[in-house]
Amino acid sequence: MTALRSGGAGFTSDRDDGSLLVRLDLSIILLSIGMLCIGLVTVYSATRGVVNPEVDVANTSFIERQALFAGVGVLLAAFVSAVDYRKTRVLVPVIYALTVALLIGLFFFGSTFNNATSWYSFGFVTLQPSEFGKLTIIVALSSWFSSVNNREGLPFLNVMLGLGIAGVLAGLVLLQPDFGTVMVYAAIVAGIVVVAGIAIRHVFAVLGLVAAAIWLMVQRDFVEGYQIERFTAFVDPENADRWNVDQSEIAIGRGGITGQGLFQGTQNNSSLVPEKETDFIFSVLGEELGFVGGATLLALYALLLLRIWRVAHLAEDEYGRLICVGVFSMFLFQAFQAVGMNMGMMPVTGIPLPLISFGGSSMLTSLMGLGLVENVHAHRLR
Amino acid sequence: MEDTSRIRLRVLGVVAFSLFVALFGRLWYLQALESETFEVTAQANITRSIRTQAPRGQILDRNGRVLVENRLSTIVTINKDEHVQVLEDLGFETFDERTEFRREMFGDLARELSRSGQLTKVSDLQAAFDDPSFTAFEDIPIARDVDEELLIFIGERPERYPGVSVDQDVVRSYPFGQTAAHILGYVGSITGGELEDKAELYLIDDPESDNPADRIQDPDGKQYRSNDEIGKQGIEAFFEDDLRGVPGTREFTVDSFENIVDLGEVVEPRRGSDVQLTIDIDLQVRLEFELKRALDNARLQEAPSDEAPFNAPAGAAVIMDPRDGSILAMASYPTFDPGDFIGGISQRQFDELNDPLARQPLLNRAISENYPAASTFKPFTAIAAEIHDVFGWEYVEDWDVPTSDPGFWDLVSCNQNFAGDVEGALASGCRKRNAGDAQLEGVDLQRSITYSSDTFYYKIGEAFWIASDDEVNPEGIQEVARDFGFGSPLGLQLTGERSGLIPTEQLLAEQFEANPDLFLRGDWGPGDNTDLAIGQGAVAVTPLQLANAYATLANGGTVFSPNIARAVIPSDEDGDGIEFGPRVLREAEIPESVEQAILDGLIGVTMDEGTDLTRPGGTAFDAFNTTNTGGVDFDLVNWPIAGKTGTAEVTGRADNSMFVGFGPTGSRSFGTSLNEPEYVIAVILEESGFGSRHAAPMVARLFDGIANDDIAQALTQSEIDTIYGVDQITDLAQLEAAEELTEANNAAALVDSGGAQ
Repeated sequence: MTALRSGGAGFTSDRDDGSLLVRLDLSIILLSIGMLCIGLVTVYSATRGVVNPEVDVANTSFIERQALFAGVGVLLAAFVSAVDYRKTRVLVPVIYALTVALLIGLFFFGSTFNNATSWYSFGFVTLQPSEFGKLTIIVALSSWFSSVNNREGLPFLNVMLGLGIAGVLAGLVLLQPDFGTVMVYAAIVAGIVVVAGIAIRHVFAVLGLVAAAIWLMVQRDFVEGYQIERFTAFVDPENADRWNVDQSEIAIGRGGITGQGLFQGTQNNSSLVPEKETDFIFSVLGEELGFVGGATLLALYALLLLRIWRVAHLAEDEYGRLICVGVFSMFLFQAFQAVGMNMGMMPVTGIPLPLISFGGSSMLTSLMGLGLVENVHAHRLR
Repeated sequence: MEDTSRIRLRVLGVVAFSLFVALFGRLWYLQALESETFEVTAQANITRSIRTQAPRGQILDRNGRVLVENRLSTIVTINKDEHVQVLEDLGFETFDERTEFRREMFGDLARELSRSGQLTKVSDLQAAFDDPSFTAFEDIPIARDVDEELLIFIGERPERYPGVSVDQDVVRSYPFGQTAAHILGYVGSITGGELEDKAELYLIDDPESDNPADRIQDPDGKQYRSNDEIGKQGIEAFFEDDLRGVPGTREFTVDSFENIVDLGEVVEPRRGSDVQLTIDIDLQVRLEFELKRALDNARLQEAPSDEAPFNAPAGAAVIMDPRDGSILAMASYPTFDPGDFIGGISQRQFDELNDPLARQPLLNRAISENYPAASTFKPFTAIAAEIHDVFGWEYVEDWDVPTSDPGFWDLVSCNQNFAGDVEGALASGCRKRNAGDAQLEGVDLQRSITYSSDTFYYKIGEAFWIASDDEVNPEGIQEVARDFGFGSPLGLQLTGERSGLIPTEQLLAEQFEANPDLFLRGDWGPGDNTDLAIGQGAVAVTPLQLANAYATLANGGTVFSPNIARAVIPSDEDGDGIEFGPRVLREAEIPESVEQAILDGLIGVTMDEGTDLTRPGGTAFDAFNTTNTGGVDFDLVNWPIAGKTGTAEVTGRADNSMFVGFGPTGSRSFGTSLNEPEYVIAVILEESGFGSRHAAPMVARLFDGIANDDIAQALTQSEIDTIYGVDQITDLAQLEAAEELTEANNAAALVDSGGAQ
């Protein structure tokens, strides 16, 4: 572990002396700020709506909101990292109950966009509780599995109860319906369960159960037809949804090594790629900044994940480690899914690229997740 | 930390690592390896190009006068999408309300269009509106070539005419109206079949592919789209590829909602090449005028009660230069107005132009109709007789031995002696008669042509039949005829040239086998040979072939592939032009021995006065020396003309009146000046009677105008309008103007007052 520690030297302090600020992992902060900047520029490019510089006035409403959320998110992250995670553990059931309430409340007070009732609308902003649900699942499962774990391994009953904790939230989100977010939940659960020590035989049992559940949902028409189609579009070239992916691939491919230049992407400017400020944001980056820009962003993600992994590795207790694993899984899955979808490797599901995609709830969730990791980093060796 | 937990954490790290390797790999593949492919697709994705139509090239006469040009035309269009949207905004919510509104609107519009000079029916407008070949977003033309004032009228009333707009279009314009319609042809909308043929034409090899099967559209080509204009007949069709311009393009960058976000490359359309003809428009106007007048005059004759009437419904004429094979004028009657095709022609009108009962006005009879050659064929029979040594063979006298012609020839092959049984001889088909049973004296080769003795040629024809048992080529006449250009298309630069027919034993057998009901027999007999010898029977020639064969006689044996186009002149300086020089097909043999006799015979046709009924003189003597038949008293000594009349028998109809001649020529035996012939004129008037009576006088008048340099300058219709105040644009105005300007007027007055006797 010495090598790892010295590798991070210069940006970090592993000693427990000094103020909170000193005990934070500076790398995570710098990496995420760098990514926020790339994200802001890319969102601006995707949303400014200037196609003819002589006539059009740039639309700055998106970038302003996004910057606001980034600012608020950083403050929230600082807040989340401040109080020792072990001390706030008692609040986990409250957070869980609040999340469930918010998700249920959607059925009465929620706003519907794109066929999904996933938002609370407050005029200027909308909030998506299922995003925050990711953090809820992280802390709830981490708390549960760290409390029930023993040296003989994780009893199957406890695994199932853990899945049940996540399943309630997932079920409520599925009803919105929002299949993409449920996939993120599943990824978080998978990461935590694996590190928490699930037995191999139980993995198969769980996978069997999940498969059965999906089969049931399809049979009972619980899943909308379009969701299945979108999901399978990437292997079916005739599918209409394939068009979106094709346009995204064209944009990225056209970027080449150095890109078309910022604000110069024709695929972007012509709005040929749909949802380009959210789900397909990577295509804008790929077209305008090319392999250099795309690879830089992927490298930043990789470094960020490496730092989160390191914190998980350094964490003193199971609870803190599982929190880091949960955040790690969330970032890994979202980044892989969102970028992979843009490049035609993954099915089309509406999953935002963390720290990059336009969207307030996603931004706050990602930053607070990193805040949790910083919390674990700062409050070890006590 | 427990060991298992560390291991599991590493597993998670390995999973993350592999996923990122996959992402980097894919990114590299897309952006480094496949980038070029996507670049092309991305360009096509956002670029839209609108085609701008290129004007067609002009058609000019030999002196550069414009025969076909382009003009701007005002059209009325309707855009369905806009139309419906405006109506909805105006509160016409239901389909029925809008249909009702439209009915009234079309009523107003039809009235207004008709008032402006374009007769329009409501049903025409409705039909255009319902045309399924247009999408809702296209401007559908509902009326073409309308008065420009409609622009103001309709433009000021968008609420009354929603979606209707007035636009401008480039269309063909014919300064000389109907003149030369058959030569110029016409343009119309491309058909599905033509579109397929033309698509093939503009495919080139894909430069980016090694597979020769990969073909792409030539970016510099003249691609067609549906509704494009294409030449349908005449020069417009034959030179379609030259006349058609290269369409221009205007490229736009669009977003995914098809909003134009940027203007891209603009490629200006390139006008098509001009085509210059060998036609002299002055001579053309005169020829058409004379053709029509000759037919009009022929129609005035009264036919004997037991014979077919002189309907004179149709005719054709060709004037060419025997020195280089260029066509100076070419006329066909009845004719049509190519201007009728502007903006489309109704099926009914088109059917009328092709109606056999109306004599198919669209048909260019000068090249597309087969006529019996009749007596005009005799010089070629004579040439064959000399080449194949038939002159002097057994019962055939040598060509320079004058003999007596009893007015008939009893076929030797029949081996029968009819003595006094004239009826029996005729019924058996063994006796062949002269026209009018004329008994002639002193008939040698020269006089046989001058008097047009049939008997002289019956002998030759049968001799070919009998002598074929010996060493004579039985198809010597056919061989000579084909040498002179009969029996196959000559390769004029016009569509629709027919080949005519020179019958042979084999051809007859084939025809009989293919269609035994139509042909009485399949065996070639001596009668076929005698018919052939006088250009009757199955012999069929086009007026062009007739003119061309006499051009060969006139120039001493050169057979041309005639030119009607002189040059293709590119619209821009660096384009490739084409000059059509004289195109020699072959040299035909005219034996020196008989050449002078044939020429003298042909000159005698116009100059031999004759002495009595047995030496009647030239068949066209009257036409060229008197005004009795509407001809002229022509200065033949200084401008000698050689020619041949023809009176072709057509079963069940009056005879075709024919004349073909050339000049200025000359002969010492007639004491004339000697010249190199510059003009050949061939005329065929259907159902008009004797060649000497109508075709010959018409040619005499034409030669008179040419020889005296008295061909009036043709006037364009705008000139006619200005000078004569004729506002109606018709061929009649052109003819009247030409009439006033030519001295031929006098001759016409004589014919008209003299009537037909």
